[in-house]
Amino acid sequence: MDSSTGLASAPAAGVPLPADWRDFFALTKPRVMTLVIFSGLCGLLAAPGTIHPVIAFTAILCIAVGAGGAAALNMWWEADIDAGMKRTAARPLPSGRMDPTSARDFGFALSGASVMVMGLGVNWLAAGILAFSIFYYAWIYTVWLKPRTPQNIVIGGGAGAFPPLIGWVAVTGNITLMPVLLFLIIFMWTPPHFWALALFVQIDYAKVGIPMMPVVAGEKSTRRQILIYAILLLPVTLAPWLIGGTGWVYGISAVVLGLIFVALSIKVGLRESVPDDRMLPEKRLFGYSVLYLFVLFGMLAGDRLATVQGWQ
Amino acid sequence: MMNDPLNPGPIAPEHLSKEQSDLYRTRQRGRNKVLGIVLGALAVLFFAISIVKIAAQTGGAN
Repeated sequence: MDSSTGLASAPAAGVPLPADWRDFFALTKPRVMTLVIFSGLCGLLAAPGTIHPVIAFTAILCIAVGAGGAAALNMWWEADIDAGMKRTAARPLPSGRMDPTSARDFGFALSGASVMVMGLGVNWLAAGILAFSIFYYAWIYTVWLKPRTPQNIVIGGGAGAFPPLIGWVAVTGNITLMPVLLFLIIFMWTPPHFWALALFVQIDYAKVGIPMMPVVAGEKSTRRQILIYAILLLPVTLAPWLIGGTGWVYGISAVVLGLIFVALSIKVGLRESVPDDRMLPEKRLFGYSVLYLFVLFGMLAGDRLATVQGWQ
Repeated sequence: MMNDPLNPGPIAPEHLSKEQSDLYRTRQRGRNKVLGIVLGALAVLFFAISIVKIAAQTGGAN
């Protein structure tokens, strides 16, 4: 980047250029956003009560834009770290396609706008939780915890757990046990999901000095903790059914999905990697964990539909 | 307007070569188009929210 002009340079030609709009879009981490939108939508659909479709759309849009703003602030803060990792080196900031000031301003603008529109269009409790979730991800996780503790993912996982809570509160306007349980599901799901990834990209994290669990506590401890969290996740996912917040559509799905999750985690938890290990069980667990959350929350929304239709 | 020696602002396209200038303008046009679409969509959204809110309040009053 050319610091004197505030414009990013095209890496090949060295020409100072304004960043392309696609790079701004990339700052919002669109792939992560799909999970955020989906879990927020499921929280909204599963909530008791009614909401006008326009207000529901506004709520989901604000959740998505807020997540995008937090992601942009995360990328702005971590540009140096991203530059040192193969997985993230091609992002707009480390690759020099965008200047940091633009990324920072973009992140603050999206964050502020999403909270204001959520407050004015939906309700201020949902807006307050959205504001806190952005602060949680951009500051508590990115700035404070991630570079300091190997438990960064455990506590930082809370940031990704807010969307279904916000979606629920957008409909009901208050916080009860059910949305808190939805929060806890993603909170407990995040460590095994992310540590499975960290096991097969641990060389990258070690290189940039991020105290990710496999780097600090070692592979064996990480594998054990993946298994522990996967086992703890099962009763947490069953709790909405056990307290009567959902019906059997969700309950049976949670049992089946959870048992598969535990089975895959056992494979990861009880093995040790060998030199030139392809880490297939870890990759399988990581891939399944994404599918797991999509299906589990999909079933949560499906359960509500089944109840409304009188099928259960 | 104050002049900041560390950040004199964007380089004007006329100071670039033709190729650079074309790329510059293409990117600016792309950004302007996307910004226009976003602002237009927001205007529609705010209008829709207003109608829904007004309708809800009117319904509540009746």
